[in-house]
Amino acid sequence: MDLEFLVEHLPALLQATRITVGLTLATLLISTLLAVPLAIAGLAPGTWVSRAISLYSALMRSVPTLVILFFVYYGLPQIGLTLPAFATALIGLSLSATAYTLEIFRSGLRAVDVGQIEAARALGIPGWRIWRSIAFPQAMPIILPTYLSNATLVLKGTSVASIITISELTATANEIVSTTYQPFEILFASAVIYILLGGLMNGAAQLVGRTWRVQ
Amino acid sequence: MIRIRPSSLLLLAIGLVSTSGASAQQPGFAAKLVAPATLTIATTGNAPPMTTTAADGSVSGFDVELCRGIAEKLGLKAEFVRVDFAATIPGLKSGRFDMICSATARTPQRLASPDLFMTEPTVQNFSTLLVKADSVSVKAVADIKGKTAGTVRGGQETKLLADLFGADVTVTSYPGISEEILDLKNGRVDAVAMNYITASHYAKINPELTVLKPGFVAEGVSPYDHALIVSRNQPELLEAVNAQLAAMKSSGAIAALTKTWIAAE
Repeated sequence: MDLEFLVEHLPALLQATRITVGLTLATLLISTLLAVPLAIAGLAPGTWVSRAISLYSALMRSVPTLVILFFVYYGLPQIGLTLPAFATALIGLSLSATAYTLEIFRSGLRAVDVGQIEAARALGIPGWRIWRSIAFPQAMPIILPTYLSNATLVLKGTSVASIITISELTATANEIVSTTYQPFEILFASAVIYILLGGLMNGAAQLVGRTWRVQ
Repeated sequence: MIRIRPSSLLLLAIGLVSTSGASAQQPGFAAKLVAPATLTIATTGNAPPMTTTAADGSVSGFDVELCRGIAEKLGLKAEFVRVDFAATIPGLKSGRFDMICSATARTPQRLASPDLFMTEPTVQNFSTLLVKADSVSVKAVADIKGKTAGTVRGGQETKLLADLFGADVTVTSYPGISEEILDLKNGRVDAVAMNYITASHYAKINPELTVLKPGFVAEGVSPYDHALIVSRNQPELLEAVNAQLAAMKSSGAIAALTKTWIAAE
């Protein structure tokens, strides 16, 4: 392990980590904000809304993220829609992440006893309060573990953005390796950085989990 | 007693004599090859006319055909492996390939590197820019100052631009040449830095693109010679390849290949 070599290139890796973190957080934010209303709207089985949402989620979960990104970045300009690289990465990753996240929320919410929702409606409790005070508090302990593993998949998914010129961690590591021909130290350091980021996510999920359980 | 036909006995004898003859001629590198009796060659297939991929997935081009010819002369089968450029040299270093035949430049950095061998020069080239023909902002290579240029990850143009312009040029890295040309057409980069031979090829098949001449001038880096790359654990293979290159130069085989693949540009 050539530590001097590693230290020399660490600043470049850390700079790239900022982009990875930014992309991950932005994707998680957008996909969660979109997934929650979509999950609620798609709860009742058989309606055309819920069928459309199921179709979207089936499509987006089948197509590899790489293909989605390539399509949005290199394919859309052919029909006149040229977006900058970061926006493309965000759109592509969010399209994919929203599909997984909405299924996670949907299955969590479905696990709540339908009888409770019906009783709450019969009692005249307003819609938003049913979600906020009855459905979600019971769904969250079920949703959180799967949401966390999905979040780490999003973190790893950002490495695919290297293919559309985003200088995130994987791209930068590969760039250094391809000009110095010393893969071990650089790739080892990148793996450690990803593990640390995943650990931070785990910690954040545990904090959130504690909040929900207090209720 | 097993009955053996005289004709099979004759064939067996010829086989034994020829294989033992072959290994007696090349004991040095034959044992260290990645796959027995095969020259495993990495190429990108993404730098026409030096290395190109046909619709059926097979690779061809100046460097590919040159190496095919060399393998044949050395009595080896040529096995081409298509990889992105950034993976070629690390792959060679980790023992996955015997050679790289992929439009590589004989840069001072590579000549001094303890990780690979560069053969004698094959053809000359220089680094330049490929731009849109109707580009008003970049008309000469110096105009790239203050603009965005695309390069291939792991290629020498990234360092060349950094050395010549420093932070004045924004460099965007792509996995390969076809991706960066797509983005040039989409307008995401002002120019693409690549070698003149490949750039001329693309300018020829894309009338909306133009290659700038003269190109970049940087001591030892541009203009430059192309060469093939041989694995560092194969000094005997390097000698054998250099010997073949010298023979092909004097026999006119290199000139013929140049005429077929390059001069047509």
